[in-house]
Amino acid sequence: MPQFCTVQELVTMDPFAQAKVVAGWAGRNNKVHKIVTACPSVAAHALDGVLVLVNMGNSQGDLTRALAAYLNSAAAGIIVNGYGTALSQGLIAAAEKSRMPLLVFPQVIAEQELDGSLTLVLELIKNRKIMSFAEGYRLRQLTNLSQELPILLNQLVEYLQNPAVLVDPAFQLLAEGMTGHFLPAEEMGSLVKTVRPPILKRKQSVPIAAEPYQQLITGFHDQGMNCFVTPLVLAGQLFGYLLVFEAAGPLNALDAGRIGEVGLACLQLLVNRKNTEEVEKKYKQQFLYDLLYNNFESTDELIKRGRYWNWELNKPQHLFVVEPDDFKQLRNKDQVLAGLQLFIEAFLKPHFLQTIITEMQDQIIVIIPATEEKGRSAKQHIKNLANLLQANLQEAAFEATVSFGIGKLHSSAAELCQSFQEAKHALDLGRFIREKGHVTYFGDLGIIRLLSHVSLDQLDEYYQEQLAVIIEYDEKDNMNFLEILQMYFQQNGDLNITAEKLFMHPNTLRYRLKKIEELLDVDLQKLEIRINLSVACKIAKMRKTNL
Amino acid sequence: MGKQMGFLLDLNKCVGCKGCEIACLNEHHFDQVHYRRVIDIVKDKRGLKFLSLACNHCVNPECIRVCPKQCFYKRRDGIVLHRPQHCNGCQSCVAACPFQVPKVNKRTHKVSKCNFCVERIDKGLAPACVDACVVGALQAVDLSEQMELSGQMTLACLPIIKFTRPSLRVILPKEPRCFWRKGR
Repeated sequence: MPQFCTVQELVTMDPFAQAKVVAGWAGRNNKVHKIVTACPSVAAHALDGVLVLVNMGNSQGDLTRALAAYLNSAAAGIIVNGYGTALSQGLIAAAEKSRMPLLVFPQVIAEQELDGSLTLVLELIKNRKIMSFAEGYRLRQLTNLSQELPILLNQLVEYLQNPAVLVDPAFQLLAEGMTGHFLPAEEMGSLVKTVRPPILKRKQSVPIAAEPYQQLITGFHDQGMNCFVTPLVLAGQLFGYLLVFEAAGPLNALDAGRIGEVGLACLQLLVNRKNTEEVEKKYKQQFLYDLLYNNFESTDELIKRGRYWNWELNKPQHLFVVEPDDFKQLRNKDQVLAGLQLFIEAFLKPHFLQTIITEMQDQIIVIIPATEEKGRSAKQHIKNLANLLQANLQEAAFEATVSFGIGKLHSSAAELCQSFQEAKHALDLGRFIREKGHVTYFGDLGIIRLLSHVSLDQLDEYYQEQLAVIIEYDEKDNMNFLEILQMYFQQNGDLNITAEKLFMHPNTLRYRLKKIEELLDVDLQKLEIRINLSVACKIAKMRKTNL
Repeated sequence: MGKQMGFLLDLNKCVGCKGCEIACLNEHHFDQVHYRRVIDIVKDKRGLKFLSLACNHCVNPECIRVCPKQCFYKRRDGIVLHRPQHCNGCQSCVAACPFQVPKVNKRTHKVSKCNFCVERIDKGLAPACVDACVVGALQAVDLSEQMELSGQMTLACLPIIKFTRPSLRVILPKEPRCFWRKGR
C-alpha cells in the first residue's frame, strides 16, 4: 500500500510552501502519494491520490481546457507551474465546487524538486515528525500575517474553512472572518452566546491559561458542535478569546497550529490596541480634569480641545455623579467601579450621540448634552434619566447599591465645573437626608446646604439643646422617640404613613408623639416648633452619618 | 492625575510661635493680607491649643462652585488658585468658604487667597510657611501617596468635611503624662 500525505501537509514543505493557494482549499485533506505531469495520455479516471502538475508553455486556451478536464477528475489537487497572471473566475469557482486545491507557482519549479519534496514529506509522516517540522513553517508564516484584525481573521477562516470570531473577555465581538460563508450572521451571534456560559464556568474553576481547548456546544440546532477556544492571555491578563467553530468540518493538528499562531498575532494586536487606549485615556482624563476644575485659559480653547474627541462643548451639558454606597467597605472596589462604568456606558450610548463617562476619585462622572428643554422640564428630564438608570441597575442586580448626585444645568461649558461641584455636593449631602441608592438634585437639597457650612461644635450644641431630653429618655428607657420624630417629619407629619413605616398602630404613634410633646414641653402643631425640631432631627442624622 | 497637595499639621510639635503666619505675610507682602493664621483653641485635656490654618485646597472646593465669574481653578497637582483678572469683588467665595479663606485685598478690592506658594512649588521648594516652621509641625505633602503618619481629617471646630474634603491632615496631640518625683 503506498504512503500518503494530505495536500495541507505537503504545503508545509518548500517549494510547495511558496505556492499560492488559489481555490479549493476545502479539499486540503485530499490524499497525495504521487505527482504526475499533465499530458493528454494521462487518463482522468486514473488520477486517484495524484497531484497533477500542469506546466505552462501552452496557450491560455489550452490551459483552461486542461484544467477543466482535471477539475472533474479524481485528482487530489492541481499545481499550475510558472503561471504569472490571474486564473479565470470560472476555473476558480469550479475548483471551489469540486473541493480540489488549485496551487499556482509564479516561477517554474523543476519537477524533480517537487518529487523530492513529496518523498521528504512522506518520510517525515512515516517517522511522525511532520508536526515539529511544520512549526518552522508556521514561524515563517507568522511574519506574513496581517496587522489588521478582520484581515487576520479572514485569512484564518480561509485556511481552516470553518468560521472563526474574536471576542473580548465580556464576549463582545471584536472581529470575525467571512463567517457568512458558513453561518448566517444572526446564527453566529447565538452561537457565541451559547458558548459563553461554559467558557465562563471553566474560567471560574480553572486558572486562566493560554492553553487552547475544545468546548462541546450542546443545544445549538438540537445538535452538538465543537468549538476550538484559544484564550488570549498575557502576564495573567485575559485580553479575549479566539473561537473557531467546527461548522463545516473537523479541524486537524495543522489547523490547531495555525489557530495558535493567529491567536498569538491577535494577542499582540490587542495588547498594542490596549496600550494605545491607555495613552489616549490618560490624555482624555487630563482634559476632563481640566474641564471639571476650570483649569484652562479660555472657553474657546476648551471647546477646541473637546473637538479632538468629537465632544461639542459649545452647547449646554447635564452632569451627574454616580458612586456606589459604602464604597470604602467594598472589597473589589476597582471591579465594581469598572463594572458600573461599563453598565452606564451600555445604557447611555444608544440614547445619546455624545456621552462623556469617566471615573475620577472613585466616582463615575457622566456628562450628556442637554435637550432643548429649560428650567423645570430640563431638571425633570435629567432626574427621570437618573431614576431610569437606577431602576435598570437594580433590575440587573448590580453588586452594590449606587447613589446619584445631579448638578444644575448651566448654559456654557465653562460652568461645567460648577455643575460638577454641585453634583458632588448633592451626592454627599443627599446621604444625610435620604436612604441608600438615592437620586438627589442639587436644587432639592434645601436647608442641609446651609447646615453643611456650620461648624460641628455649633451643630452639636443646637441639636443636643433641642433634643437632649428625648435622647436621654431613649437611652434610659430603651425607647426610639428620636427615630419616631425623624420619621414623623420625613413623612410630612402624616400619622398613618409614619405608623406604617415604623410598624406600629396609629394610636400607639399618637400616644408616643404626645409623650414626646410632654417631654420636650412643646406643641408639635406649631410651625415654629416643627421647623426647629425638624432641623435638629436633620442635624442628628447628619452627625450620625458623618461620624 | 491623582496628585493632591495638602498640609499635614502635627499638633504634638506646634508651639504656636506664629512663624508660619509671619513667613506667609513676608512672602505675600504686596497683597497685605494674612493668608495663614494661627488660631487659639483650647478644647480638651489633650492640650489641643493652636491650629495653623490657610487655604485647605479642598478636593471639592466651594469657591469654584460659587464664583459667578469662574475665577477659581484647580491645578493638576490639586492646588486651588484664583485668577484675579475677572474677579469683580462680589465676595461670594468669602461667604461660601467653610474655612473663611478668601480675603478681600483692600488695595485692589478683589479677592485673593493662599496659593500654596506655587512659584516656590514650581521651583521645587516648600511653601514659605512650611519652610519657616522651625519645629517641623507643618509639612506640605501629597495626600494621594501613602503617609507614614496618618492624620485625622477633621476637628470639631471645623465644619463637616464630608462635602468639601479639605486637603488638611491633623495629627492630634498625645495625652499629656505627668511624672512626679518620688518623695524622700
